[in-house]
This record gives sequence, C-alpha cells and structure tokens, in this order.
Amino acid sequence: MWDSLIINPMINVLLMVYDFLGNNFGVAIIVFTGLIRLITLPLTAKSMRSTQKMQEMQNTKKWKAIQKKYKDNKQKLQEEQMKLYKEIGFNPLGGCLPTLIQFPVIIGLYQAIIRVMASSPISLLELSDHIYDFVPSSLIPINSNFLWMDLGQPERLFLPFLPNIGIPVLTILVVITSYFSTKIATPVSPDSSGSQMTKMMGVYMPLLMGYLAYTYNAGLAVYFVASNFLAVLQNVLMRKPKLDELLPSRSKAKSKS
Amino acid sequence: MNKPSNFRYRKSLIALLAFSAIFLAGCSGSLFGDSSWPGISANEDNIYLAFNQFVYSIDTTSGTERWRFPLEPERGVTFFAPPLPTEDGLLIVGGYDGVVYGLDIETGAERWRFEVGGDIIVGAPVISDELVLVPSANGMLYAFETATRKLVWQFEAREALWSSPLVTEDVIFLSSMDHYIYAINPANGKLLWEKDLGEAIVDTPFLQDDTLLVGTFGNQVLALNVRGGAERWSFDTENWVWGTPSVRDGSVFFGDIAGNLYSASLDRGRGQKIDQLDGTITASPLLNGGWAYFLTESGTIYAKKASNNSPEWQVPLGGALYSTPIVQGNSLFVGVTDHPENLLLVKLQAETGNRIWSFTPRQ
Repeated sequence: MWDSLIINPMINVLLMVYDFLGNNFGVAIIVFTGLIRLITLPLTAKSMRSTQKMQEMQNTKKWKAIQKKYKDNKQKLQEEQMKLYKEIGFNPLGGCLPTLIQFPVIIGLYQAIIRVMASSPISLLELSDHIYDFVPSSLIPINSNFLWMDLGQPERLFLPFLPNIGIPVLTILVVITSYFSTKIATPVSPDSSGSQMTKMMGVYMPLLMGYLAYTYNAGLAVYFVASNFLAVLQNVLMRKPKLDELLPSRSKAKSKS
Repeated sequence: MNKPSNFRYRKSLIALLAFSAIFLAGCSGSLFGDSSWPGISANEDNIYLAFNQFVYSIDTTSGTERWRFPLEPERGVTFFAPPLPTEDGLLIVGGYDGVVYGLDIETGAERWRFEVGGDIIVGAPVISDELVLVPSANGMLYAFETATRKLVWQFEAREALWSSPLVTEDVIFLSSMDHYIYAINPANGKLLWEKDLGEAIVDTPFLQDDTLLVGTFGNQVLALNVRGGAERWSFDTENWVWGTPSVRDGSVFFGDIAGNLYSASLDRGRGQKIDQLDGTITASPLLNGGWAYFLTESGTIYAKKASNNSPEWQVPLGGALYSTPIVQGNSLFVGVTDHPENLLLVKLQAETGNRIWSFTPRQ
C-alpha cells in the first residue's frame, strides 16, 4: 500500500523528470524536490499561518500575563491557555495536521531518491519492482555524476593544492541550510520551555543532518540542501520574517530580554 | 528554565532526533542493510565465500570454517565479489571499500592490499596472463601485477562495472552498466571495439565459438559477432535479464527477473519460454553433464535433465538464491542470502538434491 500509493509514483515521476532533464540526476533531485514542495504548498501555508498566529498570540499582553500569573501552576496555566485559544478562535493543533500529512510525503521523497540511486545489486533488483512499464529501462542505471560529485558516494571535494584532503562541501552546506530552515520554521517562543526547545532544535537538527550528509550518498545531501533552501525560501516569501529571527546572537539577546 | 526541566527537554529532544535518525535509516532499506549476495568460488579442497564483513574458507568435505578474514569486523569493510584463488597461493578479493585484498590461501592472513579508486567492487577479479583484472563500480577496469601491485594499465568505461571481464587469449570482453560491450587488448588495455546495446548489462558475457551472448535490462538476450560486435540475433524476454546465459548442445538457456526460463537456438536465436519458476532469476543457469540447475530469489533450486523440461527435483532452501552455484564432482554448492537460520552456503547431492551439509558462520 505504502509502495503503490507513495513510493512507486514518486520513483517513476523522479525517473521521468531525470529523463526530461537529459539524464542529470542532481538537477532531477532539485526539480523533483521543488515539485513536491509545490504540491504540498497549501498544507505548508496553512501550517505557517498557524505558527504565525501562535507567535502573534504569544506576544500579546494577555498571554504574557497568564504566563506570569500561573508560572507555578502548570495545570491552571494550561486551562487558561485553552480559554484564550477559544476566545480568539485559535486551534493549537491547526498547524500540526498539515505537517503530519506532509510527513509521509517527505519520507516518500527521501525513499524514492535513495531507491532510484540503487548503487548495489540488491537495491537495483528492488528498484526493478517499482518501475512502471512505460518508463524506459534504458534510464537504468541513473547517471550519478553531478558537478564534482558521484551522487552514489559520500561527497568530498579534492582541490588541486590539497590533493589528500577531501572537503565535505555538501555537508557544510547541509549544516548551514538546516540551521536556517530549522530556525526560520521554529521561531523563538517567548515562553522559556519553548524557547529552550527551539534553541536545541537549532543546534541538534543541523548536526544530525550534517552527520547523515557526511556519511551517506551525496544524492541524499543534495536533497537535504535543496529541501532546506526551498523551505527557507517559502518561509521568507510567505512569513517575511525579520533578519534577527535568523541570527543566533540577536535571537539569544531577544529571548533573554 | 530550571535545571530538571532543561534536562527533560534536552532528553526528549535527543530522543526525538534519535528516533528520526533510526526512522530515516530504516526507511532507506538496503542502503544500510545487506547490499548484495554471497560471492563464491572454489578450488579442490575449499569453497571461498565472500559475504558482508568476512571472507570465509570452508572445507568442501566437512563444511567447517578453516579461516575467516578479517578476524574481527572492520568498520566500512564488506565483501560480496567472488574471491579469486590463484596458483601462487593467494586468494584475491575485492571489497566494497574499493580495496583489493591479497590473502594467504592457506591461512587467510593478509599479504597485501591495493586500493583501486574507492568505489565498490562487485565483480570477481580475474587473471589475464600475469595480471589481475579488477572491475570497479567507478567504471574503471584495473590491471595490476600481484607481486609488485604495480598498475600496468587501466580502462575507463562510461558507467559502473559490476561484472567480471571475460578473458581470452587475444581479447578481454567487458560488459558495463553503461549499455556497452567493450573488447579490450589484454596487453595494453586499449579499446579494440565497442558496441552500444542500448540497455544496461549487469553480468559477464558468455563466449561460444565466435558468438558472444549477453543479457540486458532491455528485456533481451543478444548474440554478437565476437569480431566487431555485430548483432546476429536477439531474443525478447518478459523482463530484465540479469545472469549470464549458458550454452549446451547448441541451445542457449537464460532466465529473467520475472522468473521466466527460456531456451533458444545458438545459431538463430529461435526458441521459447520453457518454464515459469517461483521467483526472480539472477543466477546464471548451471549446466553440468546432463543436468541443468536454476535458482530463484524465492529460495528454490530446480534441477532438470536435458531430455526433460519438467524438474527432476526441486528443493526449497529458504532464504534467497541469487548467486550462481558451483558444482564439484557430484556435489552442488549454493550460496544463500537472508536465510532465517543465517545459512550462507549449502552443499547438496547434485543428482538428488539431498542436503550434505550447510554452513552457518559462528557469531
């Protein structure tokens, strides 16, 4: 069911995009990630609006007063928060549902990219089960060369004057873009527990993504970079965040104040 | 935020991230699991089996492990390509770490290692004159001297090489995932001719007289003229042809990954589907004496006699059978993948299919 509804269509669309783009798998990953982002745009927009509304609400005097008044009584605090949600017609789960719906799509996209790269005999055999009859088998195996990379291998850039040191350029890009995409998607919350969580996410998530990019195929890292970049772009265009939301030092100062 | 609360959030976040990592890793399937099947080869006394983190030497009579290499798993080092036993006491095996290992065939001790490009080695190394030829998934065929590990020449294909080269006195034939068959001069690695077949070729071609037989992902088996590669005939199959075709008495036998088994005449390629087996066929048909053996991913081995299309016997071994088996005298050695009891190799009586022993590596 998972394969026939999510994975198979994604694999075949990805292969067709690859075919259409003249067998450039790196560009195909970027374009395909963009297409998926476009399809899930209504859900992302809903989720963003919800986050924005939440943020606005958390900056109101009434919210801050409740936080202060019931800081030692968590149960009462939650009750008051729920009352406030009702009062202004805000559904705290409104942002979760669109995110949850997107989750299988993101996992499917990730799996589709991994499976199409099929860099070993068993993965190639597995791929054969997922390809529709109308997709030409001559596309297999995909051409994994993209810029200086072999997308089927962990990426390292060897410069002529540093022939023995491989620079993990994509890993660095993944860490940087993950930082910004996490930061922009989870704005600093005025309440201290949320703020702490946001800060930790801002540190651990880029490190986790960086580790995966450093260790596994470059194709996956290209997907991470493209996905992060598009997430940041979407947020910038739709939410128009202030610059100080993204910079570590300023946001720290702000959260302290 | 107070300390306990801070700690709780940190803990839950780390748990969330760890779950994400495990979930993502689990989702990627074979990228992080076994990526291939056992590579097997043999000499008179031993079977050599390369699978995952070890290369094993197994006594053909008793099925006991003589040695393994390395003694302890090494990070990032796995083996799947069939090892090559040589006359000068070496066992040469290519790793998924892009390194060729020269092992003492008696003890398994490492005599040397030779790095060739860093990409995985799927195809078995072969000997050509004084040179060892190693195909790499980075598209290079490396030819080096075993004594000095001096690279004598290298040949570059357009895409990954997963199959062993086919060596003759005058020509090396090389099939590639880049859709090409190459004919190479064994003396210097220079290209003699090449032929674009339009589809990926994953296994070694078969040479019979002056005809090269090749299975492709274009659902075809092709017969090519050994001089220049001109097409003599083609035979359409239902799905991809993975394994090398085999020939006996003027007939070519091959299977496809949909489990169809075919036979066609060597001279004109006329033939038909002769059976539908119970799963994907990646192993080459093994023809020995009057017998033919066919293996499937579903774990069944079929034995047929030349005179009869229906199997004389068929044995479900469990697990998945991808590797081409080896026959020695009256015994059949079959490599097994994903077996519920972790069997890696089974020895069968070739005429009855009775199991003689099975090899499960000690943990």
